[in-house]
Amino acid sequence: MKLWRWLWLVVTLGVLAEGFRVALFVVPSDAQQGNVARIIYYHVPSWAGMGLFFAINLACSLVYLAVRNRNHALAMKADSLAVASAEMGVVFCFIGLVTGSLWGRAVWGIWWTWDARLTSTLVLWLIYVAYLLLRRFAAGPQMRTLAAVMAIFGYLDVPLVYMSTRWWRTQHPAPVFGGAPGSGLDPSMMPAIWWNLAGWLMWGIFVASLRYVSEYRTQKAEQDEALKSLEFAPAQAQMAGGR
Amino acid sequence: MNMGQRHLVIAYTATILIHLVYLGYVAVKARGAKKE
Repeated sequence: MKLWRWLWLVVTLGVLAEGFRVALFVVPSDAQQGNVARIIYYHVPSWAGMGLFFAINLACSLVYLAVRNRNHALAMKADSLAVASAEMGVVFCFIGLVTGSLWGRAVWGIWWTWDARLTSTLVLWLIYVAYLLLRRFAAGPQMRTLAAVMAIFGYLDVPLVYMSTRWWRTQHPAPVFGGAPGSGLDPSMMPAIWWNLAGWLMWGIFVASLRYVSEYRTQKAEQDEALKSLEFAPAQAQMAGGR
Repeated sequence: MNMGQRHLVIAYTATILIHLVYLGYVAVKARGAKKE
């Protein structure tokens, strides 16, 4: 692992540790819900991470489709980053669903309800899991193109998830951030949000960068293998013709 | 420990565990890519 990655990891772990300390021991507990509301300090960064990495996946898919026939090196990089960001987004989305379910059980008394926010988020998670399954099990040269197209359609659910609590009355609370006037956390609680937001996004970037490198290496090795077999193909054909 | 605190601890633990499991998967993939 390169030096900058080690430095990034050290800083990230420091920010996460500080985020943990501030979230659990420094900021006050919620006046109505008590300590369980501290789940928000992991729940919200997970959604922010999901939004960031699915947006990267969309951008990379668009780049891949635009350059796949003209610039193979850039297309391979874009496709590798698309895989890494989709996986990271799925992980963040899953954590958001799990922490939300645990929070809901404590506050609403139920693990799950089929309201607009929860259902659209589950559908989003399933779409990106399907995207990863397509990449894993589909074969042939069109797989990457199909995956990129699927990623573009899949991303259409992201604004739907974001707007679901604004468009429909849901069991899920109204938006805390960017909601109606008077919404939002008490300023004394915001440091825990900022520390955890920074820490988990930095963590996501770290892990996704590792995943990107391994995916790129794998794709490069596969391409080299294919080119090598093409180089040998004419010679083999000549040998077969001479027999 | 009441139910709220218990769920808070479970949520934090689950978050960290899920990230670590994925990190393990990434490490396995990285090792495979290096061998190629």
